[in-house]
Amino acid sequence: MLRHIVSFELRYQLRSPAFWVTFLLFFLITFGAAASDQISLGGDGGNVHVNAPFVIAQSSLILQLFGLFVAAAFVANAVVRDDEARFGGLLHSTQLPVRDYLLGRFIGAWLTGLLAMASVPLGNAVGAAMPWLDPDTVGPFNPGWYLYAWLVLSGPTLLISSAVLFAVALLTRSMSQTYVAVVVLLVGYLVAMGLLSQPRSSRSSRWSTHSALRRWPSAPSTGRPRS
Amino acid sequence: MLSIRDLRYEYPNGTVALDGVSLELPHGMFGLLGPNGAGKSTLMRCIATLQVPQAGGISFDGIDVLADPQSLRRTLGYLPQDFGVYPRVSAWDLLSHLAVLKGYSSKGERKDTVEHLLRQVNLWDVRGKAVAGYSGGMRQRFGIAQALLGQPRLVIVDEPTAGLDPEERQRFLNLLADIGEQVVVILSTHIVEDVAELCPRMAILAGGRIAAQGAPGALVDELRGRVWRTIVQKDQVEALKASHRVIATKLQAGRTLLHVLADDRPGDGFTEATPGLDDVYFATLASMRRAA
Repeated sequence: MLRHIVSFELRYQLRSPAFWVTFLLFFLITFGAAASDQISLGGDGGNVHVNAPFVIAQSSLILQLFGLFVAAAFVANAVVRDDEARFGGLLHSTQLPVRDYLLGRFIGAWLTGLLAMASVPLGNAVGAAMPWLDPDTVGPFNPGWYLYAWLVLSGPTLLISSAVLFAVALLTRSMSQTYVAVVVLLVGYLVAMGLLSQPRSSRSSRWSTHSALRRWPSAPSTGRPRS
Repeated sequence: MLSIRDLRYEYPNGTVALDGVSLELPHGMFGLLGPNGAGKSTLMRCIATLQVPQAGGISFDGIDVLADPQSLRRTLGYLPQDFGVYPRVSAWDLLSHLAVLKGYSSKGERKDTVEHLLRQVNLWDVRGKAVAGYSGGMRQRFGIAQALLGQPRLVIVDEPTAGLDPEERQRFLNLLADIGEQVVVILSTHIVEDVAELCPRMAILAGGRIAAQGAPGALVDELRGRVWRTIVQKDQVEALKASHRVIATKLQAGRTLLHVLADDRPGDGFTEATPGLDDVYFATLASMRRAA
């Protein structure tokens, strides 16, 4: 039953305009950042390859902040959809166990978010392959760097934020309240960053923010000059 | 056999939707008639395990519904009033999805059942189209298809014909009539003809109480010889309403046809009318209002 709920949720969400709009938008941002000098993301490293692991990771983490809104859209949709569509009566008179219902919806919505975030490394990979780029600014293609950024940096961050937002959506049964929670999370992140930016508290800061971005160094130590 | 004992449901805002409802429902089609706001949907939702009443009990073929809702769900088909569906999902996908939730775990069996049901309700040709884009009648037929998943022994249909055009309504009632005598079917409606055409047993629910119950024929017989009709000008209606027990008024070519309840002929200009189920319904509602 759980597997079925997850797969139905995933198939349903992947057909939604929200998914494709997000995917395309994020893809275009990182594609543009890699393939064009006019667009830069995160202040641009300067003398680094457009597809350096640092760039890939940084873009994944920056867009992850915007991804909070995306996560909210997917998980809140999974929660409020039955009420909104007036489908709850049909659903809740079946034998569907509550645990499978909630867990299945959550996993499905999280996987949808994860697939949407795959657009970020993908945009960089495609952008870096554009023929008009100066070969000197492009490093070797390494799929591992993309997978790392996607699965190790984006994935867990998305999992935690999705879980928090899913809980908020369940408690409030409201899409807009869930977006309010996103803003609270963002403000919390900024405040935590500000409060804990002193070197003395760097240890505790590791445990206090929900985003991996905080733990990412602000500049690369090595790199090749960009022409 | 479904039996309902002293059911009471009060909403948090203080509205008492069900006030001591008791009913015995044998196999076959049972009509639950009542005006909007009478508590029909609340009763249906309580039986369908979606709402838990504050007092009373529901049992179905040995299942204590309130203590063990999951057992009832295994054998329940429910078509809620005014249900909706997710956008962009086809009838085939949605019915297959619901089939899994109703316990069809084997893929082959599920496919056969879904195909059979879609053919039965005449939606096979449009199975690939989104249910959200269906007309009202098609959507209700989809609703009955999902209610029949899993060969339920208790089928609840809540206001299924509201908003359907006459042809669609007839088509829907024919589908209901085919469900069979071996299951309990509860048809909740505010349309008297639905009950008159289909149900060997019925009850009238008004103001959260059962106001009358029995076989429609027997209820009609009780009124025989007590319903009188007359046709008057519009401006005389109010005076008649004050002096007689008027149970129904209907416009007829600009004048007003009145049905009056009385043991003897109420006066000149009245002729005896053959009572119908709608007279039973309106007489019951009128006496409820007088009592209130």
